[in-house]
Amino acid sequence: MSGTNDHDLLRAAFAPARTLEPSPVEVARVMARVPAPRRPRRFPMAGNRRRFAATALAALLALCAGVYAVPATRAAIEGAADSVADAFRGYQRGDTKDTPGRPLTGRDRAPEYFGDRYDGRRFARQPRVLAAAGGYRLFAYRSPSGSLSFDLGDTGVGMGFPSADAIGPGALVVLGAGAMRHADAEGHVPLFGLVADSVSEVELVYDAGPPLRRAGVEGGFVLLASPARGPREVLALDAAGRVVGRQLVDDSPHGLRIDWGRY
Amino acid sequence: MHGDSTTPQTIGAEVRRYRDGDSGAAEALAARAARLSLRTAAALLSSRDEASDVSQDVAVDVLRSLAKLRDPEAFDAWVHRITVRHALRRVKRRRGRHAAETPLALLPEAAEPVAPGEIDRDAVLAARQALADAFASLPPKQRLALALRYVHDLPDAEIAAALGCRVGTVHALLSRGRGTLRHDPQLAELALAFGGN
Repeated sequence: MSGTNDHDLLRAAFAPARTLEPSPVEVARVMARVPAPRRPRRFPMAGNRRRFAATALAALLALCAGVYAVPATRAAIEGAADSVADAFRGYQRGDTKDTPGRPLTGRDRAPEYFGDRYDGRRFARQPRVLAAAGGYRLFAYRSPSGSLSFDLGDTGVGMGFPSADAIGPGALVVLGAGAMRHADAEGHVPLFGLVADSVSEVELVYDAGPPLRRAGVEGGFVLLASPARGPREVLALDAAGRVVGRQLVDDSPHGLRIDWGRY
Repeated sequence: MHGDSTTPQTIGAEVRRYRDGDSGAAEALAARAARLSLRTAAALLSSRDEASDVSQDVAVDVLRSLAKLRDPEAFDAWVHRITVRHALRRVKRRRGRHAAETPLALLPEAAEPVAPGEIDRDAVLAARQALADAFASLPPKQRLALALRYVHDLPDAEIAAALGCRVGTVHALLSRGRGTLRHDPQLAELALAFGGN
């Protein structure tokens, strides 16, 4: 190689790198790890006033976070055509034909109370397994009152919703990790959630290190999270890899706040 | 950036919008930082996944540290600087584990338009493979200097800023890198296909 043809050859050889583009998912992962930009304060404030403003801002953020976690990617999320509520509406009416998950088998080790009798019938009606990982299972069933319930494996927590619509309007709902400090032998904590029919993959974004992905999800998920890496946010992706839902893991709209430091 | 008409002034304006709390600007800057970094990292590492990890870490660092950037127009240079730090750290960490792998960015890709019209396509594809083999033997800083020059078309001064060294050092890194590649017999032969003498 010599002279100008050196440069031509090298430039041509590096051509693939010159055309690489990050995917929307990769950019979304970045956005999930950085704080939203803050408008600078224009005027200095006195102590009391500053404290009041900070408190008010914190309250406002806490109020908004569950519904509107990352405004920057709102447009992408709004592309979601269906919701978790849509996925379970038929199930609430007793129709399991299009309900996510599968019926229980003998090997699923459902909670004992599933078999309790209530008004002469079984307590848990049409129970299903929505997801499983590392021995944990996410169960769904209809209670005698007609509400929809989701049992977070054997972690001691179940969540009930009076109707499918009460679950939430989005394509992703992080239910939580269960109230008991429950970790497996390697310190992983099961994190449960529900997704819309359009969601085929979920991803848990950490503060440090690569995300945890689970493909082939159908209605729900169990992610074995590593508390030490700072679980931050769950992304829901459709079959085309578009982010159709996202939720901070410690900001469940259903009141479960996860203190990862306790695990 | 290749095929990019964005000027430093446009990027500077984006940085100022970000500092004023515009979240749309945050996403645009994240995408730009990830793109610049992904291309550099891909020129060094053997998998897109690894390059993707590096680029995301870089984009996060860039946005988190944007307050320290005195000149908003220097956003790209800031990204390159942080990319170099992350890429070198990654190369160091994986040294020995993937030494024999071929850098992704240099792999032949049959269906892709890769060269100016007058350059023979077969020669380009062959050159990529030969270059991949030879490139892997270069020291990381030489590889970074070459990547910044031939992926991003950066002048010596900007490469020096990214690498944190003098312009003369960049000149030496590029010359030595090209020199090593020039002495590769397969590449020397291929260079003839590019009209060399």
